[in-house]
Amino acid sequence: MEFMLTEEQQLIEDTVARLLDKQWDPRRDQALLSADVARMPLWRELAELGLLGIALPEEHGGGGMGPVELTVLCRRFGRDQLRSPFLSSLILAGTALTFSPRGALRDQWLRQLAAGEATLTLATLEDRAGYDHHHTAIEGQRYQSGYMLNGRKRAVMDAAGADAFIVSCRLDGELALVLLAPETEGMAVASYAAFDGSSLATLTFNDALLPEEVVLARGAEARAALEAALAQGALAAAAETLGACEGALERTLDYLRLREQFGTKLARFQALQHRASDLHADLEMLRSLVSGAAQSLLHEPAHADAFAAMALAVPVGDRVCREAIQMHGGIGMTLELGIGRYLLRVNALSRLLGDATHNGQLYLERMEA
Amino acid sequence: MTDLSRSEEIRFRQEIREFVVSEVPESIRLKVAQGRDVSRDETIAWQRKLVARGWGAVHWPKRWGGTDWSLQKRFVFEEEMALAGAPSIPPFNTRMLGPILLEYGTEEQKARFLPGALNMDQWWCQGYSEPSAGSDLAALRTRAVREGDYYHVNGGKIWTSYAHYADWMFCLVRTDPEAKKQKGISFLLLDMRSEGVSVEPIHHFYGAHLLNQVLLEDVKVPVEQRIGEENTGWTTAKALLEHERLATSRHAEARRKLGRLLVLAKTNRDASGALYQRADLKARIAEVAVQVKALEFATRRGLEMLIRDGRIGVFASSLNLKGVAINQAVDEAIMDIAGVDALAADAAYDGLPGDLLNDGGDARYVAESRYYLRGPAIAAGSNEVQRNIIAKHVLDL
Repeated sequence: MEFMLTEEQQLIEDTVARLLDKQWDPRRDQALLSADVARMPLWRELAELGLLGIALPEEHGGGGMGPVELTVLCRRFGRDQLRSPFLSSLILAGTALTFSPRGALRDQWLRQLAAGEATLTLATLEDRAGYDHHHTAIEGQRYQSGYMLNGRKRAVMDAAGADAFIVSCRLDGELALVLLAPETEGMAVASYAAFDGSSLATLTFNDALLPEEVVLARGAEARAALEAALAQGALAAAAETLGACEGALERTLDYLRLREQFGTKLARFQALQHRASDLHADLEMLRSLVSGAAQSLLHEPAHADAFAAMALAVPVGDRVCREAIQMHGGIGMTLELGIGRYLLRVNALSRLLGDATHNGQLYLERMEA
Repeated sequence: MTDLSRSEEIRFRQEIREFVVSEVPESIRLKVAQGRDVSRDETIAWQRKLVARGWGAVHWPKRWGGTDWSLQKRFVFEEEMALAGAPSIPPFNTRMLGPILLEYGTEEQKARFLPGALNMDQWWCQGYSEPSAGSDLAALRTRAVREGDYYHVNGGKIWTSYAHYADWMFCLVRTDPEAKKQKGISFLLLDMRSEGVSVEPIHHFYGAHLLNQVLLEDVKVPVEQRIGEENTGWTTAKALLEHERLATSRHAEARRKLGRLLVLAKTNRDASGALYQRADLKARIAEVAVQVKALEFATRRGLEMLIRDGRIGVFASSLNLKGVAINQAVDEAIMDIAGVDALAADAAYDGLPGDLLNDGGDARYVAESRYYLRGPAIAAGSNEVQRNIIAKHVLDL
């Protein structure tokens, strides 16, 4: 087990940090929606540096690396408050594609993803299903040589601008993943903004027709691809939350050292010192769990530890980012300072990938299996 | 970084588990599983079995009965021992005194004290804390005045674990009252049978007897029982093995208790079925399981730091804080799952017998175990001291 980054992983971290430093300014870009970032020069550069497709298969132009490198990136995105379709397109859809059976459709999209020429998204969540991305009640009906779909998918990330949707549903009584183009007849995309600047959408299928050849995976193969995608998604969200916490705490500590009240630096107040120390200790646990889980996923793509990481990231993220606002006092409330953005993001991630209870249950069930 | 291959590690763990099953009587394994105290004789008997197997002090050099194992192998050994439910040996003989003697003792002192410490022919206790020197240990006032070949020691120690079992005590005493706090302290080995030593029990609030007050009234200690130079005792006492600092996370103990929690939740029932099926309790168990996993990875991360840098530094404070908190979270969950079963006392209480009828079933003794674990939140640097350390040395506040 390795918790320290290798030299190569450190290089990845430094590269992405430098790039974001030059090309991303959370304050300047605060009105930007996540989906729009895929049209910025930054996105192109991430692709050219091989960072977008870092974990995609080498044979399709990816970097052939894995969960450890993905967590390095997501952690940095969290720290620098980058909103982008990375989670929806490269992590969720990218992993689902990678673990789907080989085929022309899959291979061609993997190539485009790695090259930064397309973004995809994974549509899993349905009405009355809580946070259960594994579950689908949408049953495709046989129609001519393909299927007809009816139903709704909720909170689909970065659907606006996505070049294709990977949709979970049931076909012939078993789980399936299908890949649909935005112009699919009978499918409607209604986009809206989330409170953290994520671009979300509801997909409605109204007698949507899909030909047989858009089926990416079925049965056990679809299950395995979906499991891997959701585990990788949980880990990525945990890593992004960790990065957000690190950014929030670092800025808060800077402020405590600077700000004076009652004739002394805030940093001198033991009540604040102890609260900050508790946040630090919480983060040490989350850091250890995120690194450990990344190692676990390296050996087993849908490993339970990913859900443990997210189950811990949710309460720690909420606590650290809330405290960051509180310890800043009045200025912490302002849009101008932007410290509150960390809280928005970690709270959005826990709505998107599931709260602590949901992820905790996923972990417990899988740990015991 | 690893010197044990995956398959060697699996074999090694298997070997340890088999040793524990074959060598620890079932009655004692049950006590450990229930978090109850193992007696003095049972502890000594177990240590001697370990010594016979060559595992009595795995971190000592081979010459003195230890092993030449790597850090990683020692870590696996200690982890698996705890997971297997072996009784834990109090740290004073081989983990605390041993490394200090090995580093600062003369050849005579080593030859005189190491073999007995290993074999537990002498039970050692640690005399550090005093009534007015707790977390602020360097404020200690027990006075040792040299006259010829002896020190005359006056004062007292408090919170001394197992002093009522002990044959010897290693302790810190003030030899130079003029010097600044940490300076005028010396490290002495003191025979508990010396004239002037008396031991008074201090009972835990739930009744257990582990701690003591030790009164020292003009106790004569030969100068050759001082370890290191006079007035350098503070440095000597800090020679604690860095890897001991990893142990404060108690991660293997937490994992073992999590196993117990799952068993209890599945076997204890209320009118609607196994408690494990109750959504609120299941969520609680999941939360605890997640924290235990984090603690496990954090401890491994600490091991990696130790192997790489030779030290874990201030990370130890986070491990200590969270280790205590997470172990307590497991204990609290066990107690809640145990419910009414947790009520029966372990021992007699003012004339009434304890749980003679076995009314608590498998959940007996969970309360005592839980209350015992409040101790580590206070001992060896209270939670508050750990937070001070983090604030100062990591956060630069």
